[in-house]
Amino acid sequence: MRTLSTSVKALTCALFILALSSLAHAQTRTWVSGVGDDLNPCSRTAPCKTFAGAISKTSANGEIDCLDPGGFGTVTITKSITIDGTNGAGFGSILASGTNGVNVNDSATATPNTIFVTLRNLSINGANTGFDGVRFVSGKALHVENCVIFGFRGNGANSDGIDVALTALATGNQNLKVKNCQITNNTGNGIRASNTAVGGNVLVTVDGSHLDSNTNGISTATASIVQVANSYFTFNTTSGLSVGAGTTAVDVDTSYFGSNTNGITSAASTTRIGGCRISGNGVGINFTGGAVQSFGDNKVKGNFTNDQAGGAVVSVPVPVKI
Amino acid sequence: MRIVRFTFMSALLLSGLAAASLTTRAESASGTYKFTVDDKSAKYVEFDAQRAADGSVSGSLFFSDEATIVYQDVDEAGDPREKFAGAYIKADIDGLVVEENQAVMSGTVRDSSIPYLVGLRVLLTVEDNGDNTRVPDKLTWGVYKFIKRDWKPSDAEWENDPGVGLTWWATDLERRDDKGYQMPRPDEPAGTQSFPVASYAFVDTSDGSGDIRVAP
Repeated sequence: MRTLSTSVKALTCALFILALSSLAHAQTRTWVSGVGDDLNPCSRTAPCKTFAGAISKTSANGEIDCLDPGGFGTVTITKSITIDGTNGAGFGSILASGTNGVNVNDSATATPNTIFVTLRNLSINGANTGFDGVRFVSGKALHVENCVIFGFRGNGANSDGIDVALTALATGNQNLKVKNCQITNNTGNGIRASNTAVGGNVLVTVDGSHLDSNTNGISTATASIVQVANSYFTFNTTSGLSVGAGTTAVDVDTSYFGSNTNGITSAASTTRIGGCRISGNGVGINFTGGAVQSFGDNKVKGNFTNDQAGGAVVSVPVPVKI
Repeated sequence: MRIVRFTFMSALLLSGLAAASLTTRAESASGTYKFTVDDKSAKYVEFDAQRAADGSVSGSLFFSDEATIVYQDVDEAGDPREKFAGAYIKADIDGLVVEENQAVMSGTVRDSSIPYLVGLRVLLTVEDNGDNTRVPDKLTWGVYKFIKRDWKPSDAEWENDPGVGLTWWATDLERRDDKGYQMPRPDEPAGTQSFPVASYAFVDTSDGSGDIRVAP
């Protein structure tokens, strides 16, 4: 018994040392700099020049940080990672002319739809010729925080700020979180949410963001569940929020829709709104299908053509009061 | 006879000491090492640096990397892009600092498969862990552009504003021994004094093979 106990202890110690060793060796944080070079190991004293150069030298679940402000190029992400432009000394930037700014796609890996990606403190500029700011094709979760995404106008109505176009077979739901972002001046949608993969919904939460001067601020489609709070939808040429065919459900709370052609367009599914102000649009709420339900605390007034057209908002059937 | 023998022995001892002092190097670092990092591409370094009796440093450095290097034009339209399937650099070493079992070498790239790199400064930092098989020898490297900053931020609304140096310190708070260093780096070519030795983070060379030797 004593022998067994000693063996177990020895094995535990060996495993612990091995675990520590792997932690110590993993290159979990790498750096880019405006004066770096992709021949470098992307360390703090020898940073890389581009995100694409750094990502291959960063371990899965690691982080790429910016040592100084600069443009660090477009990147395709196939493993769990955080790219942080930081904001102490400036802002990490991606210029994406004639291409996508960031591709998130793990479909070619051994475990598709499992990666967890965070983009934080980045300026992603399409320079009027870029296709999509961020294109989310395959992965478990994408978090976009404190980012500015603008100028994606190179692919007409298909140029989106964030394009969630999940197509790979997935088990369970996949997530997009957008927090404190400005998504502006794109010829497609600020955010497009669609999941044509068989398996689940794409769950989208948008908080504290400003979606303006796009065709639609947010466009929802197949198998999408969208929740929005504390956000602004302005100057969008078709709709602030467009709820399209195949959408599972949309909830909007405490947000402002103004100066859009349509504040909200409901073509399908059910959209629930609470605490929202819908003013100064061509049409406040435009019905072509589906339903819009109110919690009774919205203000819809001062839209130029109609506050409501093609239908009428109804009360949420059984509001839950707790 | 005894006097002659003593004189002869003294002369022999002195000449031996003199010869030893002439041939002993004050500091040196040399070695070869093959390894990979997270990109799984084979990298190889071969170097030999020594300080002469007059204090000057000489030596050579060869570094190769089988990884594909893509140069994006990140400040313009994104194009043109250049792709290099692997790269090498050859450098002349002109600086050497040795602290215990660690050495920092600096040099200038004289030849490279990537034309942009010729003329850049290069630093190689190594750690000699002897024959200790549990702790491999370690290294890290970097190529550095020369940066000339001839502007200084000032407040145009304040007539007498002398301007400020827009600088900050890059420190790693997760490492207690890290002194940090000033960013942007000063307007001088990268050298052995550009960064404190403690600020270098060695790459993972646990799968490496070779031998690195540092002599203080």
